[in-house]
Amino acid sequence: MATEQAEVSQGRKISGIWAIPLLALVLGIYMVIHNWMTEGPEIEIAFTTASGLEQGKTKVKYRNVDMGVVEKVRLNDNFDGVIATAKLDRQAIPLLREDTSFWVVTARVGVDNISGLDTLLSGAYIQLSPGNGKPGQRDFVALDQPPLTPADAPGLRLKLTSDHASSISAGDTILYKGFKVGRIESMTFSPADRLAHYDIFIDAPYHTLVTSSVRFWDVSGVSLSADASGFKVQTGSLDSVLFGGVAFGVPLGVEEGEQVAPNTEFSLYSSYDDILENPFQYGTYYVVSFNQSVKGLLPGAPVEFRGIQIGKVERIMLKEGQALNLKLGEEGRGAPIPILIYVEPGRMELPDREASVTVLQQAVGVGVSRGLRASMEVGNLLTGSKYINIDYYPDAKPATLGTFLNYTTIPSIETGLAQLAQSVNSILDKINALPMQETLGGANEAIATLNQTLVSLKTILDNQNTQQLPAQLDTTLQELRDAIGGLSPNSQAYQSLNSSLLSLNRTLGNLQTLTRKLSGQPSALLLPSDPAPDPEPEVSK
Amino acid sequence: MTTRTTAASRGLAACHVCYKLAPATEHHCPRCGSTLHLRKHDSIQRTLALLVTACLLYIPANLYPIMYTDQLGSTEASTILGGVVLLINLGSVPVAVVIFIFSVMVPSGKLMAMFYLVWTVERHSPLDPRQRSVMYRITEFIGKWSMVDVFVVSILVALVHLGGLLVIRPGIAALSFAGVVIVTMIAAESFDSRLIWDNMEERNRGN
Amino acid sequence: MVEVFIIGVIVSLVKIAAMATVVVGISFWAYAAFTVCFTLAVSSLDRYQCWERIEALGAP
Repeated sequence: MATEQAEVSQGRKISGIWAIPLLALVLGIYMVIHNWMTEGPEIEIAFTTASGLEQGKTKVKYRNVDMGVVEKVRLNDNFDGVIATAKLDRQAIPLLREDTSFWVVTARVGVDNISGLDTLLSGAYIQLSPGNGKPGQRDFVALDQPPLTPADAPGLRLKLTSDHASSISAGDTILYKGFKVGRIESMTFSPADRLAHYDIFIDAPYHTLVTSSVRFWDVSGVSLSADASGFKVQTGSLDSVLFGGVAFGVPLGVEEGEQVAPNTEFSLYSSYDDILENPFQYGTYYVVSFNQSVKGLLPGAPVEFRGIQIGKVERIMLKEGQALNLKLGEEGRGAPIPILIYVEPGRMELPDREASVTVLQQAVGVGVSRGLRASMEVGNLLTGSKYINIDYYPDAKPATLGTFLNYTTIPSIETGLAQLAQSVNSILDKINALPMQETLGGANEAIATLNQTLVSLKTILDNQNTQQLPAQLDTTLQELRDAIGGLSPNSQAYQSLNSSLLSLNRTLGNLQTLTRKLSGQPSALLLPSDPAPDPEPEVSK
Repeated sequence: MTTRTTAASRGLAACHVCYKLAPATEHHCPRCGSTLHLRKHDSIQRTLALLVTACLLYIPANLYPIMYTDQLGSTEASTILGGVVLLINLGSVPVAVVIFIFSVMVPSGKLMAMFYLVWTVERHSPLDPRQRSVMYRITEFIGKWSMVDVFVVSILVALVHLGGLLVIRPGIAALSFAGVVIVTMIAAESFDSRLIWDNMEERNRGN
Repeated sequence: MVEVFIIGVIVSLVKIAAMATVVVGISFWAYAAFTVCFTLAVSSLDRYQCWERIEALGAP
């Protein structure tokens, strides 16, 4: 303004008042710089709906501290979602990581609580939950549902899988001996493996209770059972009864395992009884093929090693075996039927962990070369149910482990009743092979001969001489009476006559028996027990 | 007109506070004790500096929102001009006109008028001093009316505080705008209107 | 400044009336009357005379 010349000539100098516009300028510049400095990152969050989002109003919060505000809400390029552009503070930069999650907080009424009532008046806001991934992420996809547990909460996140539907849903409690120690965060049903997948969270410090040997089971609802001792009602805690829940614990008789890593997968049993039936977690599958009838071998049938159950029959792999069967069927030996069995090392008092499975597999590998074979045995003669027995047969033909699909196969051997049945079969075959036809022919001939004999006997009986025989006999008897009259009972003649009569009498008795038998059962003549027909009647004549 | 005698030419100075004429050699007014000087000290420089300050403040006053209206969860930021447009849309044209005159026309017109006066005085402009004198008096008079908008904002902020339903918050522009009004008022006050006439005196003497 | 303030109040009331029902209380009318009186009083004041009097009081 005032030049130096002017200052000198007119005695004027730059007034101190210029400090004021300078101050204003400095303040202005400071504001601009401050604005620029505090200018945080601009992020884009994808939502499915803009419900609750308002431009220039909806805040982004972390731990209830404002982190920024939504500046723009627009549809995405495909019109199937909403993209909210939010301007965040500088201090939010370290929170923006790859797995940082966002979700809209609005008033929610859950089964066990009501949350976000404050948002009814203040409007919805976006909650930020920082992740642990790589920083520098600027595009995010918002969650549809708020996670039940903050990402950084102390505890343990685990996965459960279940193949049965139950009343368990996200938000349900996890119980340990009846205490609430965690919750189910999400539940999804995957059509790929047809299993329900649950993400669960165990709060610290209870997460130390989760070891490799714990089992999870469903305690939803009420279990009612009746037995000889009466009715038994089993329930979990009240809210687990109402809303479903999952309990976990180490089954009786199982040793405590070691700590598990986050996101370890456990299977969810339908009940505690289910666990008692299947107390072991680790096992391996084998396939055994049999060239004999599998009638009576049902899924679930035991697999035993020298009488100790080590596993169970999973199923008969008819479908999978078809390709193989066709091939073997061509060889003309019939198709062996593959059977999938599940063997648990825990049943052999091995520790129930992954390593034991390897031990078992090695043992089987070595064992097969020394005669380890699988066989099918009848477990119950009455019902005909069968089981699979695994044992050493040192005399067995040498065999090796094979593969069937992805499974290892154990060579099988036919033993026990199967062998017995085969020998019975061979005996029957021999019986079948006997010359029965000729024997019967011979018997027929014998009967014909007998017939002829009888005819000739009748002829003889019809003869005049024979008719006259009684009269002659009468005469003879008359003469005999006379002779007897001359015979004293003590005489020799009387004695011999007497004995002769007795023997005649006996012979006649025998004849009578024979004739009765013959009239009832003409084939009796043929029976081997009775010797060939005796021509006794003729003799007696 | 040209032969008129001024107090200054007689070595007398008028007190700024009580208008008493006193010898210019006195440092203080004999009546009220305020500082006595012939002309306001550094008047042009002070006025100019304050005008520049006002100009600087005028930028954020118009760019930033003057107030935020949080209505049922939605925040609406309104600038001075935006508020005028909003009022017109709402149908309150008279209020919109009042706000427009006091908040837009008056401050900007005042700034321009003051710059013009300072410029003409510094340039020893031969333009009609009477007109410029009238301009100065109008400027000085209407300056305070610009405060209407600042009052409106402060009253609204104080009155409308209905929890989550409706809250009005002041913006940075409110402070800047108040600054503009106050600084221009001080600038107008620092400007010594007698300088307009001094030019004429000088010219007359020169003639 | 009071006259400026009363204008500000009026403008504010008009603005609020757009958002909510406003009933003006007695105090508003009282303040309006005060503004009128005060403005008239200030404009009626003769400062020269005032200072003259003050000087006259101070002189003896």
